[in-house]
Amino acid sequence: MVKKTDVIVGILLAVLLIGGASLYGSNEEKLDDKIVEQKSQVETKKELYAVKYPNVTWFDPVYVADEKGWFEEEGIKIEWVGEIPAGQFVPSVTSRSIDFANRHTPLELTAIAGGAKIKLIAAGAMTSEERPHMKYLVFENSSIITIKDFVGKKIGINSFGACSEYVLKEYLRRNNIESNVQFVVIPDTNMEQALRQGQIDVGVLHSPYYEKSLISGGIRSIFSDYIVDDGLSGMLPYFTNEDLIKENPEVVRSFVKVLAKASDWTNENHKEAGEIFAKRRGIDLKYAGSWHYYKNGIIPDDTPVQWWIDLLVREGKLNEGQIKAQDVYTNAYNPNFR
Amino acid sequence: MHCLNPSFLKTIATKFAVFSTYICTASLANRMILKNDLLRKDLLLIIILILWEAFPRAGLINPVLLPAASTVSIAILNLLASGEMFMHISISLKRALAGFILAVITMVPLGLAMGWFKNLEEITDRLVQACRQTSALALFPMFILLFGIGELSKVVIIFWASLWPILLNTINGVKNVDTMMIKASISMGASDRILLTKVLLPAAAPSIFTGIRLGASYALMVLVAAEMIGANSGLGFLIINSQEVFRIPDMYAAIFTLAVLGILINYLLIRMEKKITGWKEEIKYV
Repeated sequence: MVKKTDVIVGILLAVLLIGGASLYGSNEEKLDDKIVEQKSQVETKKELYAVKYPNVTWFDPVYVADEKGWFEEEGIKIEWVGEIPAGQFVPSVTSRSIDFANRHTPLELTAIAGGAKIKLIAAGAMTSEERPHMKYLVFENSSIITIKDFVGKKIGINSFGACSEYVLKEYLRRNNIESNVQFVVIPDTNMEQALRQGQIDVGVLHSPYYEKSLISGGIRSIFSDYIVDDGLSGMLPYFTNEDLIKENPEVVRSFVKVLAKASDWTNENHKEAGEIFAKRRGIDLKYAGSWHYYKNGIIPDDTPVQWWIDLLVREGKLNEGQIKAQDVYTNAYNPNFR
Repeated sequence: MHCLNPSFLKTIATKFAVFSTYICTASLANRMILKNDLLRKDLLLIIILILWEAFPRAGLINPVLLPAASTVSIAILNLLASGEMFMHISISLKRALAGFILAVITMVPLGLAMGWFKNLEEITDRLVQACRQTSALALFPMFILLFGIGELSKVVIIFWASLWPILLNTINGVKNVDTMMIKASISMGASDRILLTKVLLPAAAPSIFTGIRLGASYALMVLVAAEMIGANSGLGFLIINSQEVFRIPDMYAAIFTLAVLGILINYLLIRMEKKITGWKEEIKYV
């Protein structure tokens, strides 16, 4: 016998299942509608090429360019595939689930050494003194003032094998205290909490997490990654799959062109760029930040890549001479490069 | 026609959905209070609720990291009123139910076959034993590789997680059927069809339903992980995204909603089980 409660629960679940679906669609469908709307408004003669891009959780000029419609001018539309954990960016580009991504150089180098066919095609963000890639934060009352105080301490990093581990390791090595420090992996979103609760002594944070922590108070920054070789390690390049370059070099060129335009614009309009990013992500405006970008998106020379190759060789992750910097990046698809 | 424009319809629809959700919830609560001894059965929950409100307010727990129950309730109401919560619930339910139902309709027959036909079981046993221990989360990167980052890989990972309890409990259920009953039925001339529908299934039903209920709860658990990749909406996505954009009350709102959904689904499954295995209770008192 069917009790009344059964009917109520059944109705409730049905309302929940259908209620959202048919009337609202999902965010995925909503964004497609938005793109279709924009497309018909612009009345382009040719079909816009859909570039698959992840919803990046840190500042990205792609948000700026998308907001300003600069991609459509070049015949591209961004297909936002949703959030992907940063650790999946390189595999996703390798499997062509997304077309472009940006992550730190050592990750691309190890992937290429493992056989992935990816190439760096634009320089992306740099570490400047005002806008470093990472900041090293401690709790207000901490006794840690300089790198020498790191001895015997617990450092929170967001992952092994990338910028947060290696740049600090390099700095520790230069100060001869590499082995006396303990690294612990904590996701970006939980780093601030771990720091405040004393579970780690130092937290290595990226933007927008370091802005949030510092603004929330009770935390101070001891130094940033600018301290190592004036932030040479800080390049955050964009990369793509070599198959896409072969199949559709024009799309790569267009993407890089718009990216460079948006990056240069960000350099001149940091505040508004931060606001666009905050609006897109739904972050409170006061936590919005942006990075500083290499001019015109051009990778200046071998040095930012070579820095990482040398480090990975020292760490034993690459063999000497296994990878040449020249083979890993190219400016050939950047229209600003002569 | 002014009154039929989309945004007006959406407002009406939201209001209807909120209203019916409210009515259903109030009605359920009403029934539970009337039928049960409130103090004994709900005492623990009420105590936890009081602590959840008091500790963050008193500062014993950092209210930024664990907001008070009232703050979370307001977040839930806001999400409901804007319609956003319905969108997240709907897409999560779709994904979880798709994977779960797929697991039920494929694994119950397979489990029946594997429990009944010894040859089949011998052939598949090694593979089953090897795969059952492999966590869905560990296989996630492989699923992404094979099925991409769209809806398919999410449904597949939920399918994988929920199929194991269903399959294994079904096999168990079949194997534990009293052989006397089978022999008696055969000796009385039962056809294969009668054997299956009147003897085997009812006898194995309690085990099968245990497996099904476990499968449903695994599906909801893995949902959060499945929505970490390539998702723009969903309760799991909301949990993760809220942390990234520093909206902690929304995160707890999503966690709470997910728990409530789990309770509702589990309730329906228990009711279904009681209906189908009604015979069992009667046997008890013989």
